[in-house]
Amino acid sequence: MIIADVGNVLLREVPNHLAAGLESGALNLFGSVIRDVSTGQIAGFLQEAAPLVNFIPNPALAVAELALSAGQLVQNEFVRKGLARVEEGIEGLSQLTTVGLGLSAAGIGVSVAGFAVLAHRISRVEKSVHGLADRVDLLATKIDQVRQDLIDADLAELKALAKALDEGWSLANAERAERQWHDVAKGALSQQARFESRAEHVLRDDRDFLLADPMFDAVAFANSLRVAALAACNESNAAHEAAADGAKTIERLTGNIGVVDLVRVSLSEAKVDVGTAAWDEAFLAAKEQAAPKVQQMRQREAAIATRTASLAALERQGISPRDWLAAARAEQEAPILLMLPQAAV
Amino acid sequence: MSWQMVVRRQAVISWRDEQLLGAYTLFSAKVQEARSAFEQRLLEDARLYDTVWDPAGFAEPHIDAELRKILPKALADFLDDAATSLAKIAPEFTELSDALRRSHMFNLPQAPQAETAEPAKAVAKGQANSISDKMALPDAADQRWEITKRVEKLVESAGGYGAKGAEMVQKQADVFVEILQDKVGLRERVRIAAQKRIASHWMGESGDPRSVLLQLFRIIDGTTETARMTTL
Repeated sequence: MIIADVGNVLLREVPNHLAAGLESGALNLFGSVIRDVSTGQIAGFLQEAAPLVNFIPNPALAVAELALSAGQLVQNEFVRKGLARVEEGIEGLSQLTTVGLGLSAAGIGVSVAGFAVLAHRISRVEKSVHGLADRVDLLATKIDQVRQDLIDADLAELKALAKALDEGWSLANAERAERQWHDVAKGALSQQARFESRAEHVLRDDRDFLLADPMFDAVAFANSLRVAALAACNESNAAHEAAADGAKTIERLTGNIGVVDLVRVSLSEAKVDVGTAAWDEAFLAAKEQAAPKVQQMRQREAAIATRTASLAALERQGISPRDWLAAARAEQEAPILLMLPQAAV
Repeated sequence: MSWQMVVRRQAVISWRDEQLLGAYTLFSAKVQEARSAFEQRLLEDARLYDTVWDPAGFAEPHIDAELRKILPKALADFLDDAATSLAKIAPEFTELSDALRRSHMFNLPQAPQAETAEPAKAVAKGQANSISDKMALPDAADQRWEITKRVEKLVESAGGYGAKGAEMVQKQADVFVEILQDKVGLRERVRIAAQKRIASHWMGESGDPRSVLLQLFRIIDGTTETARMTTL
């Protein structure tokens, strides 16, 4: 059975050599790939799996979401400790971080963890947008697209597309499932473009990074649906191109935003005299506040850019994207799976 | 866009962050250093006329001079370090890094020095300098001199008394000047003028001509943009 073949390349534990590499810093985690820092070569691929859903009702989830900002080192630490142990309990912040990343709008690998996870992702975006409702009213941007009710309607549409994507896996007729997935891909492309346009307006006219952030998340989420739907149709090239398009879009939106840009906004609001001790204090505070937000941007860019990195390697071994995703959906133990590139060669 | 390109572009934006945040820190430190030296000049050299009528005329050339003394070398070192760390990201950036290392052309502000005041009349022989430096006024018809002339008269009138009397009046005048300069907040006016100068010409975030900090930002941003273009 093909799924059994896929099962042979999936790992639930991190092999010693990878753990040692992550420990020493010779390897690091970039989106859903573990890469060799000096050569840039891929040493492993991560893929979210069905048990990720177990982390949604967990009270520690809030911590997991916060832990998103903890940074790359912490993620590496999690992977080093072993993926299989994730669901065994909350042992530390390090483990929560990658789970948090998995539950973020961008996800890890192709989105297959089920509708509950997808719905959770979109509800986080909704929560962010609603939390910033007062800022929406103050925007200089007066285009219709940035109206709260229209944003809500589009987020509802995204949720419906996520539901349709998930339902496709339950359809007995493969042809009908593919048709449904194609519709999802089309709808998600349209939503990706709508949120991209919103993010552009908010950034261009208002330079409001805080408000733009949920729009970036929505773009990432829409793109994840698009890629997942195309991969489920075994449209490898199209999935890859969709992921590349998403990476390009999100890089264009956030790729040139650094900590310093957020710091400048904070300093302009701080109203302190430059080159004074008070200014130094405000500068440090602004830097600390901005760093996690920018870290999230970098993680989002990395997650989208590496989303389909494993597909080509899998196909070289004759494993189709759909089988790979089906195996991840059928996974019972690990919320995040690992595949070594050698296994697929 | 391949993920390897994203890795490279992230490295470049992270380099930019490091440089621009470092520039803020550098400027803040140098400004504080310059302000200490300026404070000394303010206490020693600022005349009553400066603090009353022309705080900016004293503050701007002096704060400019202090910063011009310490910033050029610091900026050259800064760009040198920035170039070195850019070249470490990828060999493709070597040329760009060399160009950055040569970007030492900054337009540094230099406010014209206010005219030096004529020496004041001696209050009493051998006692002139300490008082007159603070109170000497050019012979101008300007109404603005009125207050300071009154002070001058007060001090001059001491000349008719004996040396002992002059000393006493001198002390009174010193105290009076100090009260005006500090307690009434005249020196503070000069400090504020210096701060305005720093905020507009040295560390300003906008305006024309561009502040030195903005000039540095533009160099780093230009380099960042070019580096990111090469990773497309």
